[in-house]
Amino acid sequence: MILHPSVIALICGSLLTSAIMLYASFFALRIIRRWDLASGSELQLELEHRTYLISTIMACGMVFQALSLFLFIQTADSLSTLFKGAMCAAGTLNLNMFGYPLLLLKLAIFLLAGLWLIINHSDNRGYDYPLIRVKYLLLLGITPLMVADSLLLGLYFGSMKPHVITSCCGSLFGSEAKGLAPALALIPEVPLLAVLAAVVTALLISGAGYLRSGRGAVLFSVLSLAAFLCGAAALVSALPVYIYALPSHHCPFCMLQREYGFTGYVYYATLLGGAVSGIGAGILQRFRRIGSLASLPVFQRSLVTGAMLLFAVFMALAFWQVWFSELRLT
Amino acid sequence: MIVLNQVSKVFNKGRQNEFVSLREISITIPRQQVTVLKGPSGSGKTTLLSIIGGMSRPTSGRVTLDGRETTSLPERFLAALRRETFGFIFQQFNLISGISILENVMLPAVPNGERHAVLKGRALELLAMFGLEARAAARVELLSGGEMQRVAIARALINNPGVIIADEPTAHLDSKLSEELITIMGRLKQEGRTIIMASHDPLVCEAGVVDNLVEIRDGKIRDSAPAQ
Repeated sequence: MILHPSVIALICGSLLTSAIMLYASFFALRIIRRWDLASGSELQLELEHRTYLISTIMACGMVFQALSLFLFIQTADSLSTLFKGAMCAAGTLNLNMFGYPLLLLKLAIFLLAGLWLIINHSDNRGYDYPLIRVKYLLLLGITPLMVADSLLLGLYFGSMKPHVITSCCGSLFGSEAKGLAPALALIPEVPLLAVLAAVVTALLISGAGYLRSGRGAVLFSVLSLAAFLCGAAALVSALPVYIYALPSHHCPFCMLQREYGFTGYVYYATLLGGAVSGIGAGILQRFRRIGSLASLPVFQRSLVTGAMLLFAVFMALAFWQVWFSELRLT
Repeated sequence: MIVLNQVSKVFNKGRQNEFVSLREISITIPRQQVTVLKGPSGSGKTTLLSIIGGMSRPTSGRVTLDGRETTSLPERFLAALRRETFGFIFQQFNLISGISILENVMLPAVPNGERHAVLKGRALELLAMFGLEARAAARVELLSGGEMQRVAIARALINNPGVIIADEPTAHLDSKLSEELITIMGRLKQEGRTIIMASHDPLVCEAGVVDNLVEIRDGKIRDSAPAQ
């Protein structure tokens, strides 16, 4: 194993979070089965006392796990100098069979952890723990992913062999490669950018409508998911060719490097942040009628505003880079 | 109306030094009256007061304030309720030394985010009510026992609470000052406030202003009756 500080931080952080998650899951089972706010029993009061502490610790764990996606990508990128054939994170992730599944898992954890944080924040706005079962059920769903993340991290970094010659983005996202990423790379650039622009425009209109009337949160949520999927596809298919000014270069990782102004981090952060905020706003719509969550619409408005801003920044950066690219596609 | 239903409090539960402070206490404390919790030292009066005032939580049982359950409230809601509803007068007064009387009185209202000038004006009004206006800038360390007591009462009133909780308020006062305190409590009762005091001082327990006397011993209610 490579004892790089980021590797140690990732593994230790993930193990610690998983351990806390496992303990919290045990607590979650008790909450789901035994929670009864009408009761003044010793058990109920104990659950009430402990849920505040546990959700606070879990919120820190979720934030760490969400942010660890970026640390993981940055680590994969910085380790690329140590392996023959690797020029960016794409090559490092391809070193063994665990790299890309781990990346997908971390993406899923980012989205779920973000939604959990939104539900937890909403639950804390209510005086009678209105979403307590929902948030602990979601926590039970995330725990296996967190544990799998720890295992995959160990396997991925533990199986790195310095003598292995890896393939990098040129072949992984090339026209001869097979799999989801090369398939995404084959999507025609200009139509995809047009679809992305249309979806984000619809999202902005829908968001503005929601902010004006308080209606349409679910539609906004669906459009956020669609914008996220289109944006993710564009990050493999359309945007790289303009950013690198190479029609055949479809790597979504090279843009994380200094030569490209680290713009990849802005794309990933705005896309993922926008998706979490937008989807979260729609999920909360379901709980608006709960009496103690009277402040929920204010939070939903913040989420919608945040998602609109993040997707707008994503689009602005994307079109700025396309517009000023040296490459012109017809 | 403040209703306690089967309230128990156990400290250090499950350890060798486990101590049961309250055992299934159920009482109803009427509003706009003076209720005194009477009992010897260690009987559980202070624990009961702190649970009523939301400063600590019971091990089991519930407390409702005007129909609203308070013991299950998450901390930030409980803190807000405590600030808005209760004024506390502690046995040792717990004034903060190093700052002025005026600042001590203003302190509990600071988290409300009220304008400083408005808050200062209200604090000065309260100090004037207790004849301490001229001493507003004086530091707490320089006060006599009687002055400290009045500052503590002024501080308890800064958020205009509906319920005043006083824990052994006459413990460090001579008879004259104790009677003065009882007079002030009578005045607060007339203003429509609910007063709950813990005391084993006969001067307090036998005072005419007291409406209800609740006798506690070994964490249990021995007797609860209107004062004679």
